[in-house]
Amino acid sequence: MTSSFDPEGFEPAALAAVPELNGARVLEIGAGDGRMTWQYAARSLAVVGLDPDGEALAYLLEETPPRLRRRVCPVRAASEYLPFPSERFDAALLAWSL
Amino acid sequence: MVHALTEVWRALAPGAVLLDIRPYLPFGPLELVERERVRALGRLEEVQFDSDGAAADNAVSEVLRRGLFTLDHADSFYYSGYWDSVGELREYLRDWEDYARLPKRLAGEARKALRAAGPRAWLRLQTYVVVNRLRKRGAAPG
Repeated sequence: MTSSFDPEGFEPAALAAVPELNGARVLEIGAGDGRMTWQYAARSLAVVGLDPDGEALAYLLEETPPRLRRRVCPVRAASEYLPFPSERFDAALLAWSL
Repeated sequence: MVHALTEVWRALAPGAVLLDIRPYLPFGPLELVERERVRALGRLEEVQFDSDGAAADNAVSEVLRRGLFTLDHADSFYYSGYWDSVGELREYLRDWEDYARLPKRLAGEARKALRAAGPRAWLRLQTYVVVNRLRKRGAAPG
């Protein structure tokens, strides 16, 4: 039994169309298990993957490809109170989370 | 939601981009895809109306109205999920059980259609996804 999601690649294409993610410090809200994170993290400077779900973040931490591990940092928090100083990020992503 | 967007605005550098990517429910019809052929099998049962989509739209409109962001670009696409069994589809729908349910009759229909179609057939559900690209305005509006 198998499943497949977005084999057409529309979601990665939507992310690829955003040059502002290149070399950027990115805040991803609703990073969850990292599905979207891994699609653009390689071209970003650093990604903070925020999610209130600790289990999903543990998965993200474990499953992040080795080449991306230095770039991706999971943080458990709610989006209403971001534990970061002002003007810290160059880009933000609401990943199926608004 | 407006509060969350305001927090994001605070955390972003002036001129930075905010990408808002999110699905709009309900799902499209459950379909059988066999090579080039697509056949609609029926719709999932809507458990409740997804008011979050409208609330999110309102929140985006509000932060635009307040002058926190400008809207650079709006786009959309269909996000497709494919399953080769009703069991896998059911498993996926567990995450959406507050919004949609696979009725028994449709599950039976899907099973029958998969059996009749052979090994290269898939069940497909499509979700309409919006992509809003917002840009933080340079200074806090008065």
